[in-house]
Amino acid sequence: MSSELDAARGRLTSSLIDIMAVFEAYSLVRGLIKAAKGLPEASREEKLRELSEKLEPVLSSCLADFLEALFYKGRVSQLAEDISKGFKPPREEVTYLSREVLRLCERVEERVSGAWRVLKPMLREVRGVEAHRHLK
Amino acid sequence: MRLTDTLSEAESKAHEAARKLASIASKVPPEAAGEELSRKLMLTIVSLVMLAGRLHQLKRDIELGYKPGAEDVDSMLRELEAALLEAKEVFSRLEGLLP
Repeated sequence: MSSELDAARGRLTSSLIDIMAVFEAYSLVRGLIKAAKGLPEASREEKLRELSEKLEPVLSSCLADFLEALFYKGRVSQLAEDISKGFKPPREEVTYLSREVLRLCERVEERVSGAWRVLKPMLREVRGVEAHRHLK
Repeated sequence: MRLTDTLSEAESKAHEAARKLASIASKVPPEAAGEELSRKLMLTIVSLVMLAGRLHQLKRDIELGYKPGAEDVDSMLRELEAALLEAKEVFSRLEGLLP
């Protein structure tokens, strides 16, 4: 039973890290666009607008998932602690919690992949423009 | 008051404080908060939401027959009180930065 809970805890930690990476990348891309001297100001503003339009709804869902993952992490930790103090939960309780965690982590995986599909090309584009400017 | 009711109430307080913090934080421009306050905000929300999860599960385990030690429950409630105080302080600081 404890290995099942350890696995659930590990999955939650990975999901939390994946979501944090998306937030960091978003902030990095925004910063790079703002500082991209190789782009005219109008073009920078257009890119920032495009980034917000495409990503803000995903980021808002990521934030909700992040909070849900923390809540489940608290639940799993508490159940593990109570078991370590002698509590014998019904088998179904552990199965239920593990399934809920798996469902949440699968959703996070999909959401995070979607965010990277938007972020990666923009990151490549902004870096490409800057690299080109430095080569000139 | 039954222990499970106390835990439910504590869980609601944790959710409510986290929600209020997230709400005010979304109204403050990120560059106005600064690194220290932003980190404190993040850590306080993380503590509150994880505590809400722990309180929820402890209540559930009690309903399933677990009998926790009184000192375990007290320590969790004290942890919540500390997190709520922290939340109050972070909230006031963010409130002062509202445009």
